Amino acid sequence: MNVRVNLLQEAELRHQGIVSYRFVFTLSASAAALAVVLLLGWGVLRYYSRGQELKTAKKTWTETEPRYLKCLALQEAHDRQQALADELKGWQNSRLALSAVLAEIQRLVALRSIQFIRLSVSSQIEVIMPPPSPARKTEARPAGAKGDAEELAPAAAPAAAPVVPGTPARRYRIMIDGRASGEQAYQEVVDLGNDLRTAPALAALFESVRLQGLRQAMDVKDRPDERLFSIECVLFPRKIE
Amino acid sequence: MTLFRKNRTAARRVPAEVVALDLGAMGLKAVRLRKDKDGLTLLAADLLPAVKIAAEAAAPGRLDLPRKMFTNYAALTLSSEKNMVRLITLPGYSEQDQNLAEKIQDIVKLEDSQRLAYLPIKTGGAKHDARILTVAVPEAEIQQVLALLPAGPPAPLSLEFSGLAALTAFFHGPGRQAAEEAVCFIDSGARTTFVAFLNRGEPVLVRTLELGGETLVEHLQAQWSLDRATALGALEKGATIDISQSVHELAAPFLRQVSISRDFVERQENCRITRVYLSGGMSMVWHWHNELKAAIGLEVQPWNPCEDLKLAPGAWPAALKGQEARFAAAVGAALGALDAS
Repeated sequence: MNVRVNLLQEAELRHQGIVSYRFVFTLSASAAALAVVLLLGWGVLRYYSRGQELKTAKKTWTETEPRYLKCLALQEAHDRQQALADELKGWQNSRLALSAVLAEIQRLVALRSIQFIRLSVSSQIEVIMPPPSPARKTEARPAGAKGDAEELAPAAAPAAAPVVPGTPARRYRIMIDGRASGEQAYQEVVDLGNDLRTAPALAALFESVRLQGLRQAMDVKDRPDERLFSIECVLFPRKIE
Repeated sequence: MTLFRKNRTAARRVPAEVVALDLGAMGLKAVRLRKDKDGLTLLAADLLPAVKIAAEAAAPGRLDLPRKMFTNYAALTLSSEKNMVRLITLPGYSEQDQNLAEKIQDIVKLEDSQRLAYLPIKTGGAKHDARILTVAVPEAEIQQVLALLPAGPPAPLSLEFSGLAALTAFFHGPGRQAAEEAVCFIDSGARTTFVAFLNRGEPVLVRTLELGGETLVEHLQAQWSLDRATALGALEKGATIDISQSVHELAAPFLRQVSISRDFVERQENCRITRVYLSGGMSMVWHWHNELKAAIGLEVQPWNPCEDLKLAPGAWPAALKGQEARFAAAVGAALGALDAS
C-alpha cells in the first residue's frame, strides 16, 4: 500500500544530477576556452617551430647553393659535350669505309675489258621518314633529298596529322663512267652491272645499280665495238644517329 | 487555493538514493537511504536543529545539511498545525474525469491559501465510489519548505504530510504482517498526532488530533513548574516524578476521540481493531502507552521503522539509539520516494 501524497507540483521539481546544469555549462565554456587557448598555443608553437626549420634550411641552402650551381654548370657542360659526342658518333656511323667497296669494284672490273674513265663518289644528307601508318599508307612517298623531304612532308600530311620527325641519313652515290672494248663490250657492261648488283660484298650495300648510259665511242673510228657507259650505284642510306 | 492532480506530480525517474527530511517542531529528523539490488540501506541518520515552518514566520534561509546527508534528491515531510488530512468518498469517480479536482475541492472545502493534493486509495467499488486520501497544507508553508532547498543538491523530490509518510513506513514494516487485520496506527508529532485506522491494509479513517510531545512537555512544565530538561526527564521510564495523572488529564480528550473513531470504524467496516501501533516522539513515553492501553483496551505496540532496513556501518548515531520511532516519517518519506513508480 502506498499512501504517498506529494504536495509538490511538477514545476517545483528540478533536475539534480551528479553535476548541475550550471556546472556543465561552466565546464563546457571552460573546455571551449581551453580548446581555443590550446589551439592558439599550438599555432604559436608551430609558427616558431617552422621558423626555426626555415632558418636551418636557409643556412643549409647557403652552404649548398655554390655546390649546387657548380653541379648545374657541370651538368650543362656534360649535356653539351654529350650532345656533341652523340652527333659525332652519328656522323661516324653514317660514314662508309669506301676502300672495301672500291676494292670489290676493282676486283669485278679486273676480269673484264673495261676501263674506268671516271669514278666519283658523292654523298648527300636526307631525312628518312618513319614507315607510314596504315591510314596514311596511300600518302607515303619515297624518301627524297633533304630539301625535298622538307617540301613534301608538310604537303603530304593532313593538316591535323601530328608532325613525325624524320631521321637524317647519309646516302652515297657512286657514278662510274667507263669504256668497254672488244666484241663483247655491250655484254661486258651489262655483266658488270649484274655483278655489281649481286656481288656478295656489295649486294648488302647497294640499293640500286642502274645503267645510265651506253653508247658507241665516237672518238675512236677504228674500234666500232667500243662503248662508253655510265653506271650509277646508289647505296642504302646510313642513318646519322 | 492551488489544486493539482496526483498524476501531475513527480512522474520522473526514481532516484537510487534520497535524503528524507522530517521538518518537525522538536527537531529536523534526517535519514539517507539507498536502494540497490541488495535492497534498502540506511546510510546515515541524524537529528538536526528544528527549522520553524509557519505561515506567519519569516522565510527560513538555505538549509545546511551535514556532509553525510548530501545526495541529489530530498524527500520532505511537514507536520503543520494548519494541515488537513481527510479520507473522503467520492461518488461517480473516474480517473479520466477532468473536473475531479473541483469535485474533491467541493467536498473538502478548503481556504484559498491552502494547497490540496490527493490520492485515490480504493476505486471501482459499488457505483464507482472511490475512497480518496486528501491532504491540504498552507501554501505559504510549502513555499517556506521549498526555500530551504532553493538550488543545488539536494533538490526537493516530494513534500508529504509527516503522518502519512510514517504510515508509508508502517506499510513497509509491521503493516505487511497486519495486512489481514484491522489495526490502529498512531504517529505523534510535536503538537498534533496522526491517527489512522486500517482494515485489511487500507486506510478507512484518518484524523489529526491536537496532542503531541511538545504539548505534554509544556503541560508538565506549567503544572509542576519544571524546567524543560527536567520535564523531558520525567517522561522517561522510572523517573522519580510520577506524571501519570498529568498524562491522563492531558490525553483524555484525545483518547476519547480515538475511542469514538474506533467504534465508528468497527461498526462501519464490520471489523474488530486488534492492535495499536505507535510511532513518533510520544511512543517513547511509557505513560502514554499505559494511557492508550487503558483507554482502548488493546495491545499497544511501538515499532521500529528501521527494522527492515540494512544499516550501513556507523549509520545510526549512538546518541539516537532507542529513538528510531521518531524517524518513522523520515524513513517513510524516503521509502515512498525510492518506491515511487
